[in-house]
Amino acid sequence: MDGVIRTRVGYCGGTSVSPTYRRIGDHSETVEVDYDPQVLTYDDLLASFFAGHDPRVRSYSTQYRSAVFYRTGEEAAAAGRALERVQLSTGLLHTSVEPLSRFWLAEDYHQKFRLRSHRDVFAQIRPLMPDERAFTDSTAASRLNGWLDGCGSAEQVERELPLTGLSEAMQDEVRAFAGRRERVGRLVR
Amino acid sequence: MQQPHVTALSKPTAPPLDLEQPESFRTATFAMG
Repeated sequence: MDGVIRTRVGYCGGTSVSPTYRRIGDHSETVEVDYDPQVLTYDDLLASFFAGHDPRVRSYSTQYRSAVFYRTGEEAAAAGRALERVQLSTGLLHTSVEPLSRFWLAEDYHQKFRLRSHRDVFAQIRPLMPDERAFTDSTAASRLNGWLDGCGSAEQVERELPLTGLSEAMQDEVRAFAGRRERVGRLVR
Repeated sequence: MQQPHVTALSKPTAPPLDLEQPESFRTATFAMG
């Protein structure tokens, strides 16, 4: 998605301190999105949020619930409006809109999970970062993680893939996987 | 005379895509099921 600078996964919404995947407590699995407001609006992100999962069925656990964590009154109002608008067309949604308390960053091995599973691509890009936090916050790593998971337009892949620092051969491998996912998607549409 | 032993360390080089990102941004947080 153009305008998204980077993403991180973590835990949020609960009360326990220093949650982990094994000890998530009353937190939920969450994603943080850093975005450029000159390119992308909060309303755009809300539309993508509601399109990206199905909150019509109530989650069986706090870990996997649907929620918007707002930082400002404007974000709360926008989330409320978006929720109402989507509910008018889909029926009741089990999405909670609540203030952000604290986002706890998930363990390193959860960050850019899809990219990590492509070991040859990961092995080439990871040494470009001085440490794990830099890798987590890398736009190139975020883009690769999404493209390898079938996200992003073909136009974005062609425009930005040469800027990731990968070799030509590795770029071709990423293209092959992104294209494969896209073709599978078309079959089930 | 003995020459000092020098080891060249390779420094990480950030991808161009990372370097062209704006310093100013906003953050949004969601739980998506």
